[in-house]
Amino acid sequence: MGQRFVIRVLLAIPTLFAVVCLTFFLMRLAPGGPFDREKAMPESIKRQLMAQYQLDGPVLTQLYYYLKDVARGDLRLSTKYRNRTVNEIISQTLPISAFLGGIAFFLALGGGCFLGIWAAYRHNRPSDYILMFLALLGIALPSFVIGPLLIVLFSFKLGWLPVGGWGTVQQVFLPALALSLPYMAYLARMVRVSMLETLNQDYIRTARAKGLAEWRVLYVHALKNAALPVVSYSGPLAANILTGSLVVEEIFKIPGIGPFFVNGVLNRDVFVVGGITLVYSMLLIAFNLVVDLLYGLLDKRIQSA
Amino acid sequence: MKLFSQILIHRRIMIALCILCIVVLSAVIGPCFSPYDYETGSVAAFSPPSWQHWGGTDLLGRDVFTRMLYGARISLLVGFVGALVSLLIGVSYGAISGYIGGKTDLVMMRLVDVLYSIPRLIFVITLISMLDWQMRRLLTRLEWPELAAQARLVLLFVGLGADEWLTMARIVRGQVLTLKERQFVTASRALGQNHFYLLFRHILPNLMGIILVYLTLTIPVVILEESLLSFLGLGVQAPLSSWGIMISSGAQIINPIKSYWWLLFTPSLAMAITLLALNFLGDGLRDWLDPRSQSH
Repeated sequence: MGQRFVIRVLLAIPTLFAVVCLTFFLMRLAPGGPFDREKAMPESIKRQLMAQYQLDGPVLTQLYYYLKDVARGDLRLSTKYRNRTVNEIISQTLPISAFLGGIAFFLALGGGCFLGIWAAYRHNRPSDYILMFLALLGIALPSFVIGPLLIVLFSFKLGWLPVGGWGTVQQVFLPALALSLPYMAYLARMVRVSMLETLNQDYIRTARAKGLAEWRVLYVHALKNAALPVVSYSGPLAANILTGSLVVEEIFKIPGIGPFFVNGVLNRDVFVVGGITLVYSMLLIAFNLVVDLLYGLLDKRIQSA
Repeated sequence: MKLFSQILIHRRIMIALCILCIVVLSAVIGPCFSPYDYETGSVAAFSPPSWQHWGGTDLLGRDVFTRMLYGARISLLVGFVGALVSLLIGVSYGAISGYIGGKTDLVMMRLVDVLYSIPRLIFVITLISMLDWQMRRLLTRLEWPELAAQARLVLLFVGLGADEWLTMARIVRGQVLTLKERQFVTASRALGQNHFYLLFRHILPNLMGIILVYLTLTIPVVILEESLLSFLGLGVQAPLSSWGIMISSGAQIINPIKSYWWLLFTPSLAMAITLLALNFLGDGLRDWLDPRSQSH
């Protein structure tokens, strides 16, 4: 376990290196440059701009200097928003995205576990069937369908919550819900299955026989074992929420990091795309490492192996 | 044939298969029966669903139901072919890794671990958009610029396939690891068969069931990803249509004064039905082939 963890940590460095190189190559090897889309500008000015952004000369040299800058923590200037550095863009927008993503993550996790346990507890009764039907719907309806539906229902028809934007507490509800509902549904199904399996085991009968409160049996004794698949799913969950946030931020007009990435790709904004991809990768790698550790702590069998 | 007759017994698999058949059939031949064209608009913009327009009409007066049928073609095509590409990569990668074993296996599987922990879809977005530029220039030079949308489609197949092969590789590798120690493989090796023959004639046929299951489960994932990319304007390009594009344009148009709910409803419903049927089919097949992994 310890050795495996160290290997994983050490692997993160070449991974991030490869991430930066690959993104840079992809962005630079496509024909044309970031300034081709704008209205025709004189060749001399374009050349000067390319030189200013260190995008002239052989690609490998460009990459070398870029990597040097990245290693110093300088993600350079955006080629679209001329006077903004990528560091600035990320530091302004990442907290918003991280906040929204974090809430959606815990909402999906908490809601999924709660609903899954409930359905397992009420196995083969109406509430189980209703919950699992809703979970099926949740899986079949992605965030970008649920988002507009929530807007129509809660903003237009009921008028309870704002349509979009960011800044007040009310503006967090709908996007967080839209982002987390599909995964909550998936998790609920998953928890229900593993809970049903766990509830059939002898030690649960023992726990009940010695007179423990039902909530304690469910949420302490059974959940501890039933939660293992949930922990291993939380890595993919984080990745899904990350890509899902691109869409949700678009729908609810949230000034997060997602729109910058999408526009960066469309505008061929090399350093914005490179920087954001790097930050995304760092976040996910770190998160997966934590999940790995957590899994080892929960499942003693892995530690000894 | 025994496999087929057994499938008939399972109600869940049967229902899912029937629904899928209807979806695929209506996508393939449905547009032929429609009196409308998916590209040409009419004066009747934003008319709600009626007997003339089952799904209403959109901003340009185009029939939503017809567009949904055309969109189904693209969405299903991307789903199927993308899943097939992921199958091709995943199975060969996993089979080679498991068959060679040892250090090679270790390195290859570490690479899968690494790929698992990075945001692959972010790369796929960059990859597709940048290769699209390259393709466009190539097509202009070859004087086929009208093929740009189709070229984009091919990029989507490959890109999304390259995104989703990891699970398949892991599963196949695990199976190959155990299968290659079995006696019939040893016997065949003793007869002097080469590695290629052993792997493709003896080992892989034993994995058909599980490969089929994960193929079925990958299709809905690819369909979802395609619609996500199309929603962001990074996927299928006009004049082609897909469910993701339709949902996106429907979502942009909703406003508090007049909600054109049908623009969102028809493509969402089609997508939901397809995704549900595919998930049902995959889960059903998995439970049936491997009773230990109960998903219900």
